[in-house]
Amino acid sequence: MQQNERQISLKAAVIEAIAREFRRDPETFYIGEDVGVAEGIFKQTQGLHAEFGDRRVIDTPISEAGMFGLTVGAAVAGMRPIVEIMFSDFLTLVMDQLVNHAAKIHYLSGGGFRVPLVLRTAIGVGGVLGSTHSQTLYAWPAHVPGLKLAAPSTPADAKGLMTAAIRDDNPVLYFEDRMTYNLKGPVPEGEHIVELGLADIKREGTDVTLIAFSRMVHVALEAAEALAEKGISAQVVDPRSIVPLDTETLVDAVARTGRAVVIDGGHELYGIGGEIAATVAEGAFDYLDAPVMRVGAPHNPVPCSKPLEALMVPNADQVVAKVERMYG
Amino acid sequence: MSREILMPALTPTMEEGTLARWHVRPGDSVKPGQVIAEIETDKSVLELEALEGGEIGELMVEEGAEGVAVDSVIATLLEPGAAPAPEADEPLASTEHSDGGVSPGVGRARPGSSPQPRSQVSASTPAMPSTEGRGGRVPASPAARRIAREYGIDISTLNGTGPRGRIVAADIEAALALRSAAEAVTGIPATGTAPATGTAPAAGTAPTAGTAPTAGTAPTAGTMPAPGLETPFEELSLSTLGKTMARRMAESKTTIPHFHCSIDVNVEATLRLRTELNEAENGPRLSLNDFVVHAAARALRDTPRMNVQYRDDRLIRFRRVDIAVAVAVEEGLVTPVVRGAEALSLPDLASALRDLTERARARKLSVDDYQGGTFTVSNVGMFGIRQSWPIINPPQAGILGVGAAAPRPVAVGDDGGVRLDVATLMSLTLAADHRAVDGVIAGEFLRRVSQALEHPEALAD
Repeated sequence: MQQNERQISLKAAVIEAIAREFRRDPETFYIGEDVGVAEGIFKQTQGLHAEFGDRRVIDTPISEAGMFGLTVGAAVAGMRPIVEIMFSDFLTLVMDQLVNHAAKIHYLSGGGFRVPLVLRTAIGVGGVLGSTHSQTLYAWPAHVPGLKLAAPSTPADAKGLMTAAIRDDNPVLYFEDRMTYNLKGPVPEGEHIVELGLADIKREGTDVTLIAFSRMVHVALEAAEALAEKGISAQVVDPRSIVPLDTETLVDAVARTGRAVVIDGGHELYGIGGEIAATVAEGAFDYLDAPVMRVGAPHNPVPCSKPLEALMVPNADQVVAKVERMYG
Repeated sequence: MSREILMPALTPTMEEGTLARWHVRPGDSVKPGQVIAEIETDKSVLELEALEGGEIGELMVEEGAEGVAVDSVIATLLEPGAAPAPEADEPLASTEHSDGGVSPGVGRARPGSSPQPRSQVSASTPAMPSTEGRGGRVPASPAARRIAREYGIDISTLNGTGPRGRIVAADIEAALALRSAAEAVTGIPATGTAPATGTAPAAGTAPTAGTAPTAGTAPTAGTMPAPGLETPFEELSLSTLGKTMARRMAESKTTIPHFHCSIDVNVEATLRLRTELNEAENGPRLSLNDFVVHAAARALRDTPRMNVQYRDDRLIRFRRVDIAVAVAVEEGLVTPVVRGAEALSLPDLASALRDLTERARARKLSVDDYQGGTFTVSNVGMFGIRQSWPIINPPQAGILGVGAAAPRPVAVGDDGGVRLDVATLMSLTLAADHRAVDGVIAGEFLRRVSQALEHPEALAD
């Protein structure tokens, strides 16, 4: 029972998952910009190059389309690559390979080819990296059949989801909010798998369900604390994977409380938050005591100004305000 | 020409009421049967319905006004253009109320009430369908609608407390509580399926027929008094305690598989010891019941498998013996709890029991005094009752029914044969939850209680 007490950072947990899989499966490799000798711009590949060398941890030029196309080919040929797109902003550069190839090959080949790749990419706002290095673009690929999407909030989930992603026979997009990289938490030693499509209840509560993933789980937990002081018991549910979505757990949770707020670090308009809100509203309709609410980023590019940038990150006050509006 | 709408009398004795809510505004046109206001008495909320159509002229009483006298004018109704003029100066909007089940026996027309009722009150605690009066769909959350559906509550009669007046689940729960209160007052289920006015026999006939609707016509499905109520009766109010007892006892007998074991205990030695102790000591005066509770506490300690509770496929074994004792008070039974009873000496236990009993009778128990409990002792010996088969106090798994100690013929056996003798015996009957314990455990427990009472030397510590 005490064996999980070890506390490591989220990025260390992801590296641990990758290293474990690299040791057990020689067909795995890691490719991206500054991922090898430099060990990643956020040190998110620390130690991998040292252990696995040039042939399995590969540095590329700035050439997203090229390296991703290479990855798709390698995956079709039977390898299990992890490709890093430094920021989700640069998904734009791999869209054709991703949407028209990686997502479709299994289907178009009648199941003849599989594409077991992991696309690892950073999302989130902070540190004033500007409009084109701060986007949270998971809603785009989520729309495309044939892709899976995971977005961990805790170190333990990060390890478990990465392990599951590597072993999955489908293309899995793995989104890490770069502001959570140094977040520490207990992480199981040894093999740890969090199956894609299983939500997790991060906090029990009876009055309102806050649905959030990735960094927003921590915003939700903070809001839940503030709500508790106001006498409102908030439950926090983390879907952990965006596709597949654990509809059953989400609907069940919302049906129990009768109220829900979905918190999404991406733009609120046409976002994942809206999709989840609609899903739970449909499933839990007869149990809703208030409209399902969303909290998301404004429909605005992330500004290159520190004070303005902060406005792009949903916060606990906004969540609390939404919940209070449900009570009139 | 305008007509007057008067404050209705909801009961024969009502002299004033509260105008809880207007459903109309000046200038609104109303149809016969449309709810125009909610009138509140100390017992319930009822709807005032227009019996004639027309246009609301003026509201004479503000929403929320209290102490509005019966028969005072609360609003005026302007005639629709084509309607014939009424008799001048005659207050025509007097009221009758059809007895929609508010209270048996009060629904008769008041003697001397206006012969031309123009509006009518229908019982609606809390519900009479009348959405049409609101001019559209009532804003209500899906959860509120679902719960209202389940319990047969018409949401159109409720005030929403949610954002923008939306009816939310809490409003339905409040209406349910109000309904329960009304039921407590009337003893009659105020089901939300109470008829719409349009279906009540009284409604359609009232405006011009000149026949006051009478009580006999009004109660309909869902509000009909139970059969046999033609026998003269009076309604006794049931206290919260009484209602709780009713609910818990029904829950116990319908959900807990009881089994009973009875044993006759020779209490002569205990009675002798009691006399000795009471004469000798300065401690509390001991009753036979104190000895029984003490013996039961020790037996539960020594038979831990009896000190249990069944909960959803799980068995809980308590590490402490908390004995509840049934104490009769005026409103019903209360069961204050002696915690850690197995560790108390006989005098301490007796003091604790006396304290709880006295406070129970003085209504001075706190919640902590009667919450929990792992076992109950219920003594009916004071009535000379020989044996009772008590109902388990849920969620406990056992209760001991204690009968009167009395001389009884007994067969006394020894090697030389059996002869008839007389001894002071007391019957103890255990009711146990067969999901949690079985006859072996029950027998072991009762044997220990019996031994402690037949050989009480060890009991007095």
